[in-house]
Amino acid sequence: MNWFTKFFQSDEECSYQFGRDIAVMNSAKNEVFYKTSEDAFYNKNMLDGCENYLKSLILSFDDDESIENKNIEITRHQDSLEFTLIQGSAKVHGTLKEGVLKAYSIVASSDIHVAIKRRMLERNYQFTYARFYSENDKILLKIHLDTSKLTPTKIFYPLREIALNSDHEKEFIASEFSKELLLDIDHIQTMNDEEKKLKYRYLQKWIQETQSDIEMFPSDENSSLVAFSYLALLFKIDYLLVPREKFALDLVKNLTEYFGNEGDSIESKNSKLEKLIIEIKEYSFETFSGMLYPATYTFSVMEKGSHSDIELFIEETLKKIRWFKSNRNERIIVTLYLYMSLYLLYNFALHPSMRGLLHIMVQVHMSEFFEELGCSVLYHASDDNSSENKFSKRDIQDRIDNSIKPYEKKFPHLKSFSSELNFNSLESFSQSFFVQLKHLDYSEL
Amino acid sequence: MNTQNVLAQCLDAIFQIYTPFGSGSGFAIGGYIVTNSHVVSGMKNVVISSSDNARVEAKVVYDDPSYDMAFIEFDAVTDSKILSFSQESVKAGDSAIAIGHPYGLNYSSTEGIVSKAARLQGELEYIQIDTAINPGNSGGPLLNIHGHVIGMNTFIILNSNNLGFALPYYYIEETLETFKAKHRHKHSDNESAVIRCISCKNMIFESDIKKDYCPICGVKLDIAKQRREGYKPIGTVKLLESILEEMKIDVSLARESQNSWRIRVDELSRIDMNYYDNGIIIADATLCRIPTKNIDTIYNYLLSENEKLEYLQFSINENSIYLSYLIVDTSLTYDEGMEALKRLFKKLKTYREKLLSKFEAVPFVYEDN
Repeated sequence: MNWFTKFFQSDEECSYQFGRDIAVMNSAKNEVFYKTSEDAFYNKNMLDGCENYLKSLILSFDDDESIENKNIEITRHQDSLEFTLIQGSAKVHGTLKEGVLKAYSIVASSDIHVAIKRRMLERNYQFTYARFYSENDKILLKIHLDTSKLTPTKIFYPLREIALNSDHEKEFIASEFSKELLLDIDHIQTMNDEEKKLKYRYLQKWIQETQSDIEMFPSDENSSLVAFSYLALLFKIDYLLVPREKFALDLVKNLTEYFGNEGDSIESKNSKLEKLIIEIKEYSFETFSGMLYPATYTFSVMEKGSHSDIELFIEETLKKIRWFKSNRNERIIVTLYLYMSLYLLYNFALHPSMRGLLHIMVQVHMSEFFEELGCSVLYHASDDNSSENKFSKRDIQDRIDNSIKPYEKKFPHLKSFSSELNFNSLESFSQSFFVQLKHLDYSEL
Repeated sequence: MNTQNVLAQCLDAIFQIYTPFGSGSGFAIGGYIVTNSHVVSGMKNVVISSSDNARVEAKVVYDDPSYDMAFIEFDAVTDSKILSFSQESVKAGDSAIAIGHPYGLNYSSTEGIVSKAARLQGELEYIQIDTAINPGNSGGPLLNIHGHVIGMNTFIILNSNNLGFALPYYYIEETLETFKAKHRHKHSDNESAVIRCISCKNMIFESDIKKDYCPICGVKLDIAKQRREGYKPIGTVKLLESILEEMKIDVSLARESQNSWRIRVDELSRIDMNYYDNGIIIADATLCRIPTKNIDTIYNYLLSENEKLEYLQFSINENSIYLSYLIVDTSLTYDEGMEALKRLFKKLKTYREKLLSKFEAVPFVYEDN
């Protein structure tokens, strides 16, 4: 399943959510909890094993080790354990007692359309661990695990399945039927109107800019230029605006079909994306803003991307960029660099350092948007300064260093490349940045 | 005779042959079921079935890897259901009809012509045909327009366009006669199997083979080793089969392949159990198809029963209602597997009857009923 990708980036001065991916195992503390969990399970101490495993999923800790981002809450008793876990619109409630780990997520009222019931019974056929059921006028999703053979991995997959799917089904019900049917959604936060307005304005602006760009493309090689422009636009909307419900489901459906349907021509695929973009453009502010809410996640939807996959993608795209350069299609070049960053952020569960680095690239390219959000400006596109002075060079270098340094101990060959970049122009900066990303070495000793 | 008549006359003599390594075809002729050696896969016993015979275990009494031929002994082979060899020589352009079970699709027939009557491949001649044959057709008969056997479908050239090869009838007929003559001098009923040496081509009683060497020419006989060692399930498969055995299920008959089992519970129900490469084990019982009215009510019932069920769950796939047990191999224990499968066997009948009578669900009919 690959409906949500992305991630969630927060930095000190810019605490907005970008993308939908999460930074599981992003700290040494998480890794310590994981190791402790493994040891406890090995010693048949199931309660300690489970408690420490759940702690290893906590997104971040503040300095005094209390939980900062409450994606998981744990209550430990003498002979049992209770926990809740947040995944977007879903809240998973779990207990570990008398050798059995049970978890459920309340999805919706049982007074739902017959189509939803059918869908849930069909989903049951596809699940490995979870199943939909009804109880007391509610539809729930549950798992039931015998703890006699538990390990962290054996908790991870069932919990991930219930969390991702209950979130996904809630989003589906909200988009196809009504939000009113959803239950247990008190944890969902609201977005302030200013942010919604800004996002709506940029949604319209980016679509307008893309459509204007496309009109200017030369007729030869037009289809690939159009494809990259549309894809960059959709990835940009997804990563920076993070729409949910129908918007998100439509985005994922169309992007999945685009990359999955090898038999279709690029022209035909482009026309499908164009249709989606026109539909999105017609959203009123009320409709669009109704599909925005900040959310906490525990699990990533995407499978972990290996560095060799990333390296291969960068290499292939840099070749395409060289081709476009030699064929004088300069207009698309900068878009392609942005596309590269956003493609990787959309398609892979990335190591936190890689996510951080790609986010810097997005922030450089989309400086106007970030400036309006109140985030630091890494590139001053409209300044009359010389090309090099348009970059907030020191800030960029510091952020690259900060993205890499925490992981240098784990990956001894992973080195910051902040002094290797070319700041002569946005294009040469992007080129040098991706060449460096490609050569990052994530091998462990 | 037209093709329809050929098929009507011959179908009852066609068998499906199963081993843990796959399935193929065979046909009754000369008192035995004849098939390819590669179909029986070095097994001493295989499972066979036909239109008249439910799955039953049968003994491979002759295994001949050099001619890719094997004979299976089966008491229920009667004169009325056996084929006969062609008495005419095969010529290019003759009609050639293949019957078999390609990819497990029972009793599939295809028709074509003989492209070349004798194509030398290695030491043997084969009939080259353009009749479509596929994996699972192996061991099935190639018939002429009179319904007589002209060959045994044996191999194809992969990725070609209908380049199939059948072992000619005269090799089979001659081997059968030689085997029968040899068999008359068998040592005992328990040790009557014969192997043909891949090198000297002599037929040897299996009981005369020591340490897998041909007693006549001294070559190592892999087939003897395979037959001696047999099939030994390991790991999760062994665990699953031990659970089935404890439940008094004949595992040999249930086994569809190394990783799948089909258990007939009664006339109307069966359980299909599969162990997938990703480690997931699924035991499914297809209870019925969804009804045409009051469908919402049956959905409500299934969802509410899912609350009560332990180990099992209701789901829907392609209009059918399933009761299933799913588990990942690393979590499977003997006790849990036993308890879950017992419940599945017990509850599937109760639920099927309830769904049919109370909710007017549509009965599910298995193709092999």
